[in-house]
Amino acid sequence: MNEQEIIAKAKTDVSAFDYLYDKYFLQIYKFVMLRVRDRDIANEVVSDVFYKAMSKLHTFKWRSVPFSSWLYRIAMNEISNYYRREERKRKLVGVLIHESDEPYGSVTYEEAQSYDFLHKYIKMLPQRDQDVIVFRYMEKKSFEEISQIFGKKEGYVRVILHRALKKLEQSLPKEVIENVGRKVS
Amino acid sequence: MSVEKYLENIRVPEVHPCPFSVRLKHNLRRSIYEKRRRIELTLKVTSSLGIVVSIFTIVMIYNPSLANNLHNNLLYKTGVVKTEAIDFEQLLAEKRQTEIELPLDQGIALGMKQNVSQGFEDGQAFQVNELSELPEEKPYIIRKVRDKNNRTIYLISDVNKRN
Repeated sequence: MNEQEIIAKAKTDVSAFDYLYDKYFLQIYKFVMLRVRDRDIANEVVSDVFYKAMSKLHTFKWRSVPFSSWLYRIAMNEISNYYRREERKRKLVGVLIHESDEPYGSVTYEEAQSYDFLHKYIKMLPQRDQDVIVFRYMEKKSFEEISQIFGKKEGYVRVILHRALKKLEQSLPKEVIENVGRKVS
Repeated sequence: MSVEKYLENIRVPEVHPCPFSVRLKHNLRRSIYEKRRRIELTLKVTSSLGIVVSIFTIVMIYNPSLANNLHNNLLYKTGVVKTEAIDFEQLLAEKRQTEIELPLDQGIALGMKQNVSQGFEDGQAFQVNELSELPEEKPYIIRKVRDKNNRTIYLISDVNKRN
Protein backbone atom coordinates (compact mmCIF):
# COMPACT_ATOMS: atom_id res chain seq x y z
CA MET A 1 0.00 0.00 0.00
CA ASN A 2 1.51 3.33 -1.03
CA GLU A 3 1.30 6.53 0.96
CA GLN A 4 -1.51 7.94 -1.17
CA GLU A 5 -3.67 4.95 -0.30
CA ILE A 6 -2.71 5.15 3.37
CA ILE A 7 -3.74 8.81 3.50
CA ALA A 8 -7.06 7.97 1.88
CA LYS A 9 -7.53 5.18 4.40
CA ALA A 10 -6.55 7.37 7.36
CA LYS A 11 -9.68 9.46 6.88
CA THR A 12 -11.65 6.67 8.53
CA ASP A 13 -9.14 4.07 9.67
CA VAL A 14 -7.28 4.69 12.90
CA SER A 15 -4.47 2.23 12.09
CA ALA A 16 -3.58 4.25 8.97
CA PHE A 17 -3.58 7.36 11.12
CA ASP A 18 -1.14 5.64 13.50
CA TYR A 19 1.19 4.91 10.61
CA LEU A 20 1.20 8.54 9.42
CA TYR A 21 1.57 9.88 12.93
CA ASP A 22 4.51 7.61 13.75
CA LYS A 23 6.20 8.45 10.48
CA TYR A 24 5.91 12.22 10.60
CA PHE A 25 5.60 13.22 14.23
CA LEU A 26 9.31 13.47 14.98
CA GLN A 27 10.10 15.43 11.80
CA ILE A 28 7.44 18.02 12.55
CA TYR A 29 8.25 18.18 16.24
CA LYS A 30 11.95 18.72 15.50
CA PHE A 31 11.20 21.51 13.03
CA VAL A 32 8.81 23.26 15.45
CA MET A 33 11.24 22.86 18.33
CA LEU A 34 14.04 24.40 16.26
CA ARG A 35 11.81 27.32 15.42
CA VAL A 36 10.38 28.11 18.84
CA ARG A 37 13.02 26.71 21.24
CA ASP A 38 10.52 26.16 24.01
CA ARG A 39 9.14 22.77 24.90
CA ASP A 40 5.71 23.96 26.06
CA ILE A 41 5.20 26.17 23.03
CA ALA A 42 6.40 23.38 20.73
CA ASN A 43 3.95 20.96 22.33
CA GLU A 44 1.10 23.41 21.86
CA VAL A 45 2.00 24.14 18.23
CA VAL A 46 2.56 20.48 17.30
CA SER A 47 -0.79 19.54 18.89
CA ASP A 48 -2.49 22.15 16.73
CA VAL A 49 -0.61 21.00 13.64
CA PHE A 50 -1.64 17.37 13.98
CA TYR A 51 -5.16 18.14 15.07
CA LYS A 52 -5.68 20.39 12.04
CA ALA A 53 -3.97 17.97 9.68
CA MET A 54 -5.93 14.94 10.82
CA SER A 55 -9.29 16.65 11.06
CA LYS A 56 -8.78 18.28 7.61
CA LEU A 57 -7.30 15.20 6.00
CA HIS A 58 -10.18 15.06 3.52
CA THR A 59 -8.99 18.42 2.10
CA PHE A 60 -5.53 17.06 1.29
CA LYS A 61 -5.19 16.49 -2.44
CA TRP A 62 -2.38 14.39 -3.77
CA ARG A 63 -0.75 16.57 -6.43
CA SER A 64 2.81 15.27 -6.57
CA VAL A 65 3.52 17.10 -3.29
CA PRO A 66 4.49 14.78 -0.43
CA PHE A 67 2.30 14.57 2.64
CA SER A 68 5.25 15.77 4.74
CA SER A 69 5.34 19.06 2.77
CA TRP A 70 1.67 19.60 3.57
CA LEU A 71 2.38 19.00 7.27
CA TYR A 72 5.37 21.36 7.21
CA ARG A 73 3.21 24.02 5.60
CA ILE A 74 0.62 23.67 8.37
CA ALA A 75 3.42 23.80 10.93
CA MET A 76 4.81 27.03 9.44
CA ASN A 77 1.34 28.58 9.52
CA GLU A 78 0.77 27.51 13.10
CA ILE A 79 4.12 28.95 14.22
CA SER A 80 3.27 32.25 12.49
CA ASN A 81 -0.17 32.21 14.11
CA TYR A 82 1.37 31.57 17.50
CA TYR A 83 3.77 34.51 17.21
CA ARG A 84 1.00 36.73 15.88
CA ARG A 85 -1.19 35.87 18.87
CA GLU A 86 1.69 36.51 21.24
CA GLU A 87 2.41 39.85 19.61
CA ARG A 88 -1.24 40.85 19.96
CA LYS A 89 -1.22 39.84 23.62
CA ARG A 90 1.89 41.90 24.28
CA LYS A 91 0.31 44.93 22.62
CA LEU A 92 -2.90 44.44 24.59
CA VAL A 93 -1.25 44.24 27.99
CA GLY A 94 1.39 46.78 27.03
CA VAL A 95 4.27 44.59 28.10
CA LEU A 96 7.65 45.59 26.83
CA ILE A 97 9.92 42.62 26.62
CA HIS A 98 13.50 43.64 26.27
CA GLU A 99 15.84 40.90 25.33
CA SER A 100 19.37 41.95 25.93
CA ASP A 101 21.89 41.38 23.20
CA GLU A 102 24.50 39.33 24.85
CA PRO A 103 27.93 40.48 23.80
CA TYR A 104 30.03 37.92 21.99
CA GLY A 105 32.88 38.47 24.38
CA SER A 106 31.07 36.49 27.05
CA VAL A 107 30.34 33.55 24.71
CA THR A 108 32.88 30.85 24.11
CA TYR A 109 33.52 29.25 20.77
CA GLU A 110 31.64 26.14 21.88
CA GLU A 111 28.65 28.22 22.92
CA ALA A 112 28.67 30.09 19.61
CA GLN A 113 28.46 26.74 17.82
CA SER A 114 25.29 25.83 19.67
CA TYR A 115 21.90 26.25 18.07
CA ASP A 116 20.54 28.14 21.06
CA PHE A 117 23.08 30.90 20.49
CA LEU A 118 22.21 31.07 16.78
CA HIS A 119 18.48 31.07 17.54
CA LYS A 120 18.78 34.42 19.33
CA TYR A 121 19.75 35.95 15.98
CA ILE A 122 17.57 33.80 13.75
CA LYS A 123 14.40 34.82 15.60
CA MET A 124 15.05 38.45 14.72
CA LEU A 125 14.48 37.58 11.05
CA PRO A 126 11.07 37.46 9.36
CA GLN A 127 9.16 34.16 9.76
CA ARG A 128 9.73 33.05 6.18
CA ASP A 129 13.51 33.61 6.45
CA GLN A 130 13.64 31.66 9.70
CA ASP A 131 11.83 28.76 8.04
CA VAL A 132 14.09 28.61 5.04
CA ILE A 133 17.29 28.71 7.13
CA VAL A 134 16.05 25.98 9.46
CA PHE A 135 14.99 23.77 6.55
CA ARG A 136 18.25 24.24 4.65
CA TYR A 137 20.88 24.15 7.39
CA MET A 138 19.32 22.40 10.36
CA GLU A 139 17.03 19.91 8.62
CA LYS A 140 19.49 19.55 5.70
CA LYS A 141 16.71 19.61 3.13
CA SER A 142 17.37 19.99 -0.58
CA PHE A 143 16.14 23.01 -2.54
CA GLU A 144 13.62 20.75 -4.24
CA GLU A 145 12.13 19.67 -0.91
CA ILE A 146 12.04 23.24 0.39
CA SER A 147 10.39 24.43 -2.81
CA GLN A 148 7.70 21.72 -2.39
CA ILE A 149 7.07 22.84 1.17
CA PHE A 150 6.78 26.49 0.18
CA GLY A 151 4.84 25.64 -2.95
CA LYS A 152 7.21 27.82 -4.97
CA LYS A 153 9.91 27.27 -7.57
CA GLU A 154 13.47 26.41 -6.58
CA GLY A 155 14.75 29.74 -7.87
CA TYR A 156 12.45 31.56 -5.47
CA VAL A 157 13.76 29.51 -2.55
CA ARG A 158 17.38 30.23 -3.50
CA VAL A 159 16.65 33.95 -3.63
CA ILE A 160 14.91 34.13 -0.26
CA LEU A 161 17.63 32.00 1.32
CA HIS A 162 20.32 34.27 -0.05
CA ARG A 163 18.53 37.33 1.33
CA ALA A 164 17.95 35.64 4.67
CA LEU A 165 21.64 34.77 4.97
CA LYS A 166 22.58 38.35 4.21
CA LYS A 167 20.31 39.59 6.97
CA LEU A 168 21.64 37.00 9.39
CA GLU A 169 25.21 37.88 8.57
CA GLN A 170 24.50 41.50 9.34
CA SER A 171 22.93 40.69 12.67
CA LEU A 172 25.49 38.12 13.85
CA PRO A 173 28.60 39.43 15.60
CA LYS A 174 31.47 39.56 13.13
CA GLU A 175 33.77 37.77 15.55
CA VAL A 176 31.54 34.70 15.46
CA ILE A 177 31.69 34.34 11.69
CA GLU A 178 35.38 35.13 11.47
CA ASN A 179 36.18 32.72 14.26
CA VAL A 180 34.19 29.95 12.59
CA GLY A 181 35.80 30.70 9.25
CA ARG A 182 39.24 30.30 10.75
CA LYS A 183 38.42 27.10 12.60
CA VAL A 184 36.63 25.46 9.70
CA SER A 185 39.17 26.34 7.07
CA MET B 1 29.67 32.86 2.24
CA SER B 2 31.22 32.49 5.68
CA VAL B 3 27.81 32.59 7.38
CA GLU B 4 26.93 29.44 5.45
CA LYS B 5 29.97 27.69 6.87
CA TYR B 6 28.99 28.85 10.31
CA LEU B 7 25.47 27.45 9.86
CA GLU B 8 26.75 24.16 8.49
CA ASN B 9 28.81 23.67 11.66
CA ILE B 10 26.04 24.41 14.11
CA ARG B 11 25.29 21.56 16.49
CA VAL B 12 21.62 20.75 16.01
CA PRO B 13 20.03 19.69 19.32
CA GLU B 14 18.31 16.34 19.64
CA VAL B 15 14.67 16.24 20.59
CA HIS B 16 13.02 13.60 22.78
CA PRO B 17 9.29 14.08 22.80
CA CYS B 18 8.34 10.52 23.86
CA PRO B 19 5.77 11.12 26.64
CA PHE B 20 4.23 14.02 24.77
CA SER B 21 4.11 12.02 21.54
CA VAL B 22 2.18 9.18 23.16
CA ARG B 23 -0.18 11.57 24.93
CA LEU B 24 -0.90 13.55 21.78
CA LYS B 25 -1.50 10.39 19.76
CA HIS B 26 -4.01 9.16 22.33
CA ASN B 27 -5.77 12.54 22.43
CA LEU B 28 -5.95 12.75 18.65
CA ARG B 29 -7.35 9.26 18.34
CA ARG B 30 -9.97 10.08 20.94
CA SER B 31 -10.92 13.50 19.63
CA ILE B 32 -10.99 12.66 15.92
CA TYR B 33 -11.73 8.98 15.42
CA GLU B 34 -13.72 8.05 18.52
CA LYS B 35 -15.83 11.17 18.22
CA ARG B 36 -16.51 10.34 14.57
CA ARG B 37 -17.30 6.73 15.47
CA ARG B 38 -19.74 7.84 18.18
CA ILE B 39 -21.52 10.16 15.75
CA GLU B 40 -21.76 7.37 13.16
CA LEU B 41 -23.09 4.92 15.75
CA THR B 42 -25.69 7.43 16.95
CA LEU B 43 -26.78 8.04 13.37
CA LYS B 44 -27.07 4.31 12.71
CA VAL B 45 -29.15 3.69 15.83
CA THR B 46 -31.37 6.70 15.15
CA SER B 47 -31.96 5.77 11.54
CA SER B 48 -32.70 2.14 12.48
CA LEU B 49 -35.26 3.26 15.05
CA GLY B 50 -36.72 5.66 12.51
CA ILE B 51 -37.15 2.85 9.98
CA VAL B 52 -38.81 0.59 12.57
CA VAL B 53 -41.21 3.35 13.65
CA SER B 54 -42.00 4.19 10.01
CA ILE B 55 -42.77 0.55 9.20
CA PHE B 56 -44.95 0.28 12.30
CA THR B 57 -46.81 3.46 11.40
CA ILE B 58 -47.44 2.25 7.83
CA VAL B 59 -48.72 -1.10 9.14
CA MET B 60 -51.02 0.72 11.58
CA ILE B 61 -52.47 2.79 8.76
CA TYR B 62 -53.17 -0.27 6.61
CA ASN B 63 -54.27 -2.57 9.44
CA PRO B 64 -55.52 -0.62 12.50
CA SER B 65 -56.86 -3.76 14.18
CA LEU B 66 -53.26 -4.83 14.70
CA ALA B 67 -52.87 -2.05 17.25
CA ASN B 68 -55.90 -3.36 19.15
CA ASN B 69 -54.57 -6.91 19.07
CA LEU B 70 -51.18 -5.77 20.24
CA HIS B 71 -52.73 -3.76 23.03
CA ASN B 72 -54.85 -6.69 24.18
CA ASN B 73 -52.01 -9.17 23.99
CA LEU B 74 -49.28 -7.06 25.47
CA LEU B 75 -50.99 -4.74 27.91
CA TYR B 76 -54.48 -5.95 28.81
CA LYS B 77 -54.27 -9.26 30.59
CA THR B 78 -57.51 -11.03 31.54
CA GLY B 79 -57.71 -13.81 34.05
CA VAL B 80 -59.58 -17.08 33.45
CA VAL B 81 -61.61 -18.50 36.31
CA LYS B 82 -61.29 -22.24 36.47
CA THR B 83 -64.57 -23.35 38.07
CA GLU B 84 -63.65 -27.05 37.88
CA ALA B 85 -60.81 -26.56 40.29
CA ILE B 86 -62.92 -24.95 42.99
CA ASP B 87 -63.89 -27.17 45.90
CA PHE B 88 -67.27 -25.74 46.80
CA GLU B 89 -67.64 -27.70 49.99
CA GLN B 90 -64.43 -26.24 51.28
CA LEU B 91 -65.38 -22.84 49.93
CA LEU B 92 -68.64 -22.95 51.78
CA ALA B 93 -66.87 -23.99 54.96
CA GLU B 94 -64.23 -21.32 54.77
CA LYS B 95 -65.86 -18.32 53.15
CA ARG B 96 -68.28 -15.94 54.65
CA GLN B 97 -71.71 -16.87 53.47
CA THR B 98 -75.28 -16.05 54.04
CA GLU B 99 -77.83 -18.75 53.74
CA ILE B 100 -81.42 -17.87 53.38
CA GLU B 101 -83.92 -20.63 53.44
CA LEU B 102 -86.98 -19.00 52.16
CA PRO B 103 -89.58 -21.06 50.31
CA LEU B 104 -90.97 -19.28 47.30
CA ASP B 105 -94.59 -19.23 48.45
CA GLN B 106 -93.56 -17.87 51.84
CA GLY B 107 -91.67 -15.12 50.08
CA ILE B 108 -94.71 -14.20 48.06
CA ALA B 109 -96.77 -14.17 51.23
CA LEU B 110 -94.33 -11.77 52.77
CA GLY B 111 -94.51 -9.53 49.72
CA MET B 112 -90.88 -10.08 48.77
CA LYS B 113 -91.49 -11.18 45.22
CA GLN B 114 -91.07 -8.24 43.01
CA ASN B 115 -90.01 -7.71 39.45
CA VAL B 116 -87.20 -5.26 38.87
CA SER B 117 -89.21 -3.53 36.16
CA GLN B 118 -92.14 -3.03 38.52
CA GLY B 119 -90.27 -0.43 40.53
CA PHE B 120 -89.22 -0.06 44.12
CA GLU B 121 -91.00 1.09 47.21
CA ASP B 122 -90.20 4.74 46.61
CA GLY B 123 -92.30 4.47 43.49
CA GLN B 124 -89.63 5.23 40.95
CA ALA B 125 -89.82 3.03 37.90
CA PHE B 126 -86.62 1.17 37.12
CA GLN B 127 -86.24 0.73 33.40
CA VAL B 128 -84.11 -2.13 32.11
CA ASN B 129 -82.69 -0.03 29.31
CA GLU B 130 -81.22 2.32 31.91
CA LEU B 131 -78.85 -0.38 33.14
CA SER B 132 -76.28 0.40 30.46
CA GLU B 133 -76.15 4.02 31.59
CA LEU B 134 -75.43 3.21 35.20
CA PRO B 135 -71.78 3.31 36.28
CA GLU B 136 -70.41 -0.01 37.41
CA GLU B 137 -69.30 0.19 41.00
CA LYS B 138 -68.06 -3.31 41.52
CA PRO B 139 -68.36 -6.54 39.56
CA TYR B 140 -69.34 -9.87 41.07
CA ILE B 141 -69.42 -13.42 39.81
CA ILE B 142 -72.46 -15.45 40.66
CA ARG B 143 -72.14 -19.22 40.57
CA LYS B 144 -75.03 -21.56 40.98
CA VAL B 145 -74.03 -24.85 42.58
CA ARG B 146 -75.86 -27.76 44.12
CA ASP B 147 -74.81 -29.40 47.37
CA LYS B 148 -75.13 -33.03 48.54
CA ASN B 149 -78.60 -32.41 49.87
CA ASN B 150 -79.69 -31.25 46.43
CA ARG B 151 -80.00 -27.70 47.58
CA THR B 152 -79.28 -24.85 45.19
CA ILE B 153 -76.61 -22.46 46.42
CA TYR B 154 -75.65 -19.20 44.79
CA LEU B 155 -72.08 -18.14 45.41
CA ILE B 156 -71.34 -14.47 44.98
CA SER B 157 -67.64 -13.71 44.64
CA ASP B 158 -65.89 -10.38 44.51
CA VAL B 159 -63.99 -9.63 41.36
CA ASN B 160 -61.05 -7.32 41.61
CA LYS B 161 -60.53 -5.43 38.42
CA ARG B 162 -57.06 -5.41 36.94
CA ASN B 163 -55.86 -2.04 35.97
